[in-house]
Amino acid sequence: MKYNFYKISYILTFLGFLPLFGDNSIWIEEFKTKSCCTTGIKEPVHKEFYIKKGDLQNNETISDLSNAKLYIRDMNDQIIEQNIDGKKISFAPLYKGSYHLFFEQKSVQNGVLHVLFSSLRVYNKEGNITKSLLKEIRGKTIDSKQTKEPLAQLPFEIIMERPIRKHHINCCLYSGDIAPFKVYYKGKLQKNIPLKVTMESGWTNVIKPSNDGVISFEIPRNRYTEKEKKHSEKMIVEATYKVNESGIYKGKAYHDIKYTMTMPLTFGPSPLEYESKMLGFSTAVGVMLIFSLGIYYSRRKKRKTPKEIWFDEN
Amino acid sequence: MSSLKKKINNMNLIRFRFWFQIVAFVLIVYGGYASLDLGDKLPTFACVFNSEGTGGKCYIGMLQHDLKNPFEIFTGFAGYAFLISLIMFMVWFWVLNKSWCGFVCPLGTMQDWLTALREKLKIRFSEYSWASRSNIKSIKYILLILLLIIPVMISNSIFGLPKLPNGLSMPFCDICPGRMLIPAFTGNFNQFYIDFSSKTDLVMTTLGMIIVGLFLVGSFIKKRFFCYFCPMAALQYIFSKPALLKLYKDGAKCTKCGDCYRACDMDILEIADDVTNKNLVTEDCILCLKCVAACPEDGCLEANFTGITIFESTKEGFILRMAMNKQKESHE
Repeated sequence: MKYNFYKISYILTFLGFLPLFGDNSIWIEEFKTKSCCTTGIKEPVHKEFYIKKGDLQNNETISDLSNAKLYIRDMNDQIIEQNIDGKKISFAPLYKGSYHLFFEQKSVQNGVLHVLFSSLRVYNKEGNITKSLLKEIRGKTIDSKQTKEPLAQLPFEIIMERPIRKHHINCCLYSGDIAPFKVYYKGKLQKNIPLKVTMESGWTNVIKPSNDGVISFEIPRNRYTEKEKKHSEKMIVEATYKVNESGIYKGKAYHDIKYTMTMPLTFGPSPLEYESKMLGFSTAVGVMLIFSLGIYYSRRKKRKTPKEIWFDEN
Repeated sequence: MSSLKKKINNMNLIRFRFWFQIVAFVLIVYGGYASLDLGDKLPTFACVFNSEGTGGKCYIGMLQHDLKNPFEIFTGFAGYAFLISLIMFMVWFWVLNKSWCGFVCPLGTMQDWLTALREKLKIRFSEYSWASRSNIKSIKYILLILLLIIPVMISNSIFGLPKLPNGLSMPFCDICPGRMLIPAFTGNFNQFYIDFSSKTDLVMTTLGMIIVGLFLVGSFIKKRFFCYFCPMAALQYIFSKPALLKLYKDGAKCTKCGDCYRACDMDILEIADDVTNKNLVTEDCILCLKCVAACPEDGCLEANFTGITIFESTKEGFILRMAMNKQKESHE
């Protein structure tokens, strides 16, 4: 009885949040070319991006990117603002390393100002040697390890905290990882905005934040065969927030502002699925036992080695 | 100035080194929690797998990563990045020479702690036999060559040979005991595993587990057990000649008493035997300076930085240290 009550209230909560999220999300997606890494050292690589609309199964590329902006944050927290013309977004990263792209588009529909944001982390494998010399010398920058602060230019933002699992070098997300997020409005952490998660496989959920404002969920595990170890799957996290605020945008009056932010992410099969920790520990301990016994038996009849004399600095 | 010099020459090297190693260990293993990042070209085992704690990264990992690029990329930006990394590694290394091993390396520090534990338990130590020593010495060069060649062969076909599987992209890291033990100090035991995802991963991770077992027992019973096999030591030795910190010996003052040899964790015979060469930083030397502290002859052995003597052997220092040692023994 109690279980049914929880189940019904969960479904009702889920259904209650659904109207907040639009039917068609937009997100930024990198257009990957095969010749990504063949440029010379002097010419920066041009990266291209599209804005997609729909869901991960059925989507289209948005061709009208008027009133859109792009903010690019490099690993040193330098922010470049870029206006967008046409269908494609392109930029040439100068340094080797991570860049965060923030897409923004505004429009007024039915008296509501829709402010759409989408952010994407891009890793640039190459760079102009003269521009990235310091980075190459220095390695990571001092603050690069910390979670980024909300971007001042974005009133509404989802920030992914570092994944909790540490089974791999911090480059990727894997199925089974706990992915923690926080949602900020005007730089302040919001503790009541849920997150909609949609996987390419079709799994979707709305996750509410905990008391401290962290929205975390385990990326669903899947079964992959050995051949699919390099399989990657997309997911989109999305948060929406409606504010009762009136104004005029490009000559059109609005009485509400609806902020929506998406963050497309990619994850792969977890290396943990193929690992045995128990066997790892057992092997190490077994080797220690065998080696110790071997040393014990080989040394028990030997006399004390003459090197250990009256003076030994250790 | 002379009183400062006297203080340094008379210092308790054991205590100084013990605390120096602890500070270096904390910086390298836990520095990341305080946002410390010394870069990724350090000539010491600052493990990249210690993802959150590490205050800098070991160059061996970077080297393997750089070499994995296909030739067409390596001849472009990646080649320049590789050269900058190598130069940075050399610059870091030239300042401290092989004292990175004796004073900074967290894996070396762990071995010293295991030695200290053995001494507390009053278990005698072992040595490598003289017959096998030259073979043992060559292992680190073999490992160095393998870690240089294997990543290159992943993306490139050399002499028509087939490309190697991607699972070998960081071959030394797979078998390095630091990968398992350094993150373990931050409570992360995730590197203790055997990977069944491919035959290569299965072999390499099993080898890694075997080596970590050998490391723990070997270092307990043999001082600086792993340093004899360390490819980082081999890589450093290649660049050690122009380094600023040197270990000098004045052969004319040497009586060949053998105290320096007996104090040496690496059993370097030349330190007592060689009275002709001035620079005694040999391939196995970890510049721990225990030989200088153990030498009873004035000015026979010295640590020299850019031509300035920073620590030298003195009769007075030797007597004081011997007294400290006896006092410590009587307390025990």
